[in-house]
Amino acid sequence: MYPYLKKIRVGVSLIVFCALLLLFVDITNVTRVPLVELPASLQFLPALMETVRMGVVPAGLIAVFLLTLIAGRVYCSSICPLGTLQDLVIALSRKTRGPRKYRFHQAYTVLHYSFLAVMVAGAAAGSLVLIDLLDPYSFFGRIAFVLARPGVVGANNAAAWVFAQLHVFLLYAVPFHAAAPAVLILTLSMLGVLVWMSYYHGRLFCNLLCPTGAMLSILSRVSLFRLAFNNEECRDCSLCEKVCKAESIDYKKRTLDFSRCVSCFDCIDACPAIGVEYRFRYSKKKDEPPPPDAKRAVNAKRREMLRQSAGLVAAAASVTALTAASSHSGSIASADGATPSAGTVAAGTAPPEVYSYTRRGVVTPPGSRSAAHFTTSCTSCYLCVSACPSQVIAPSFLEYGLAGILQPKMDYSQAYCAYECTVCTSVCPSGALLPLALPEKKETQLGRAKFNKDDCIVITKKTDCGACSEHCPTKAVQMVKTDGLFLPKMTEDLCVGCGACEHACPTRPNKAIFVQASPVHGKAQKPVQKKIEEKKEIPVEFPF
Amino acid sequence: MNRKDFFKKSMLAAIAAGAAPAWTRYAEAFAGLPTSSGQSAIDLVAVKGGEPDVMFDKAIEALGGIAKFVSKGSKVVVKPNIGWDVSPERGANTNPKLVSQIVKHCFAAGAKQVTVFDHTCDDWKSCYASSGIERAAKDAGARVVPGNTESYYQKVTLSNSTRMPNTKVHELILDSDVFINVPVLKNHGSAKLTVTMKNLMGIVWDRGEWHRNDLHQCIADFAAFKKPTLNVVDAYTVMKKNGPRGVSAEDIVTMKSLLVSTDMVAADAAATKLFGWEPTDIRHIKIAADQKVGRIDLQSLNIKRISI
Repeated sequence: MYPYLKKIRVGVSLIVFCALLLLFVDITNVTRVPLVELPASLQFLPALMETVRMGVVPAGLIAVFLLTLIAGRVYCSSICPLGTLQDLVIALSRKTRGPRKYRFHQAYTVLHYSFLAVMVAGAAAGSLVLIDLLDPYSFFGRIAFVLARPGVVGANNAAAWVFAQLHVFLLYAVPFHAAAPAVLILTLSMLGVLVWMSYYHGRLFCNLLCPTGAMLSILSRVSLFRLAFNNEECRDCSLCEKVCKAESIDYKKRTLDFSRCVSCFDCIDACPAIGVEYRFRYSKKKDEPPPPDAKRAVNAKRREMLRQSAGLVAAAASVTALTAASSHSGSIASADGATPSAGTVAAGTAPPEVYSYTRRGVVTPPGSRSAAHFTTSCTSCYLCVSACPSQVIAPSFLEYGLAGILQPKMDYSQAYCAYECTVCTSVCPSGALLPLALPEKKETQLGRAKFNKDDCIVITKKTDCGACSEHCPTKAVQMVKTDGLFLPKMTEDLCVGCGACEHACPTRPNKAIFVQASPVHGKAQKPVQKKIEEKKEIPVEFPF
Repeated sequence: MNRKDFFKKSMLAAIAAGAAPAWTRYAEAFAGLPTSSGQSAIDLVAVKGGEPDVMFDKAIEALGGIAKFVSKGSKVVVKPNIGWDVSPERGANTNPKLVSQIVKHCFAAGAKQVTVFDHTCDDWKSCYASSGIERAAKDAGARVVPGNTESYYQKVTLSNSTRMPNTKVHELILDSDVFINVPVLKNHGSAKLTVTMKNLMGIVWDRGEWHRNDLHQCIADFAAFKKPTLNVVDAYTVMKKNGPRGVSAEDIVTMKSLLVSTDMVAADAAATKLFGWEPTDIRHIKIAADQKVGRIDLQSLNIKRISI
């Protein structure tokens, strides 16, 4: 079966890659079916995050865990979309630069595992900055949403426009809101670095920066089967080393560092014999023992490298520590936000006298329970952002602080949360958004709308308006007759924080009504319904 | 000059010349003419007690059949209220059975094409699906198109409006031969009541502009610009409070009524009475009557009343 391993790997990786890409760029949401969504559930780090945060072990995590324990880092070349993206760049480099000749490179083990340690420590301390940036699946998701999707939307809308000119309505334009420039620039530059790394150094990202790569590398050290040299078959031709994009094969010493091997099977494919093969860990036919000097190969050059690594790790650690510290003070501050300043103090107890609320905090999507839960669980993959039918969920940049860099937020300037919708809560692979049944979601209070009377059209222009009340699904804001005109009046306990009022409010530049984020999602009261006396009112006689 | 430009220019010219817009000519030709029975023409038909489709059959029969409004080969736009992502029994959108029946009548009269759309408030795809209107209209043979993109909307001049010199109207309306306005009668937080004139906010692009510039005045001003060929008011399931979206099924009563008229002010006035309020209390209806958009004095109208 060895000759087929690479073909199978290429086939599987392309299927998974295309399915995931489709999931992120599908503007119609028609491909949002279990078969297409399956690869997302197999993503290691989000699934692990759900386990750590929620105590549930998703089947996808078990599957990847077992796969790695049996056969090594098969995930990295078959299931990881960023791995496949790098392989595409590598294939391109082979086309443009001629056949790549990789050479064995010392492992960055200390550096890589130290990064992992910093990430784990950071996550434990409440900062996901490095995971948000470097989790490969989430990185891919951002590339797909921030960079690829606009192309799809643009092409669709251009076609829809052309059709509309011909009065044909086969296609329709979909709303698109470009990501903030900072998000765009960060994603673009990270993609640039990734492309550079893979174009010149193969799978360097996977063995230097990737948190998933580091964890799976530890597991693959004890895997049941591993790739190794077959000393009887090997002809010392060096072809395996030259195609190894992980730069983990040293043909002269006949060693293959399986902890760095991404199981692409290119070496097996390149070998004219069966010089590299899968071998059972406990088979009697022992691996060739590593050359005696391998362990003592800590030469001066390597020491120098380690010294530099220490500096890098220290820098990463301090960034994480700082962001963790800021996230703590941040969460305390946002908890404070619930006990309001001047304007909001009176809310809930007596009608507020001071109509000057200022916006604080960021509204987190439904199912996130609290800003604290959300920012410490979300890996910023943007699956919810892609799936949201009304496109109210948008990427943030630093609104949650560095610790929650890039995590999604509710953006009511572009849309509002549909009252009858729970899509986002059902797609999240990391447990940052937990499933909500529709009745439950309709009572979830993401925030509470605040009304700034002095900005309202009814006051400033002395005319009726009512756009806010019109859009409110629970009538938390109602129009009440005041001085001959109808003025909005808030019943905050009914508000679900959907942002419909804020979105509809016609005042510019400041909305007279806006949703104040609830750091911990509350429970909205059910709207009080007075029964209408006579349900059937078929007129006996027409009143005209 | 393409077809659209030609249409736009000719329409603007028509307005500038003070001529009646082309699409109302047909109906106006019949208005006021004696009918075959020798009585003066019916201004408004009111039906009660039947299913929406049956009530429409009766009403249009009383008016002499849909063929009086829809000629062979004409392009028809049916504009229901599909504003909200809620189910039909909540009364926030026009009854799908009524929309379906109107579409069928149009095709029976030889319409070349019947198009259904609304510029919705909630996400349009959800609204079209939840309201049941997309399915019903498509099953009846109509083309159901979106109204969600600014590029579909063309700028028109409102020469009589002091508040709003121009606004953008969906090109399908401008390009249609017949425009059938099919609002659902319900309470409305902003406009107090939404009937035929308020329903026209669903054929324009920027509603925020109306809200910013005296909503009632804008509704009345636009009504003077755009007179539908026919108005069919769905008062089968009526939202009595918490409109226009409604909070629950507790907001509605079953009135099983239907009003049909070519006169929006007359239809709105009758609907207001049916709702239990006074027409003059709804500012945009009063302004429209004062601006001679239509007639608010129900006593002087020839009303055909049908009970099923």
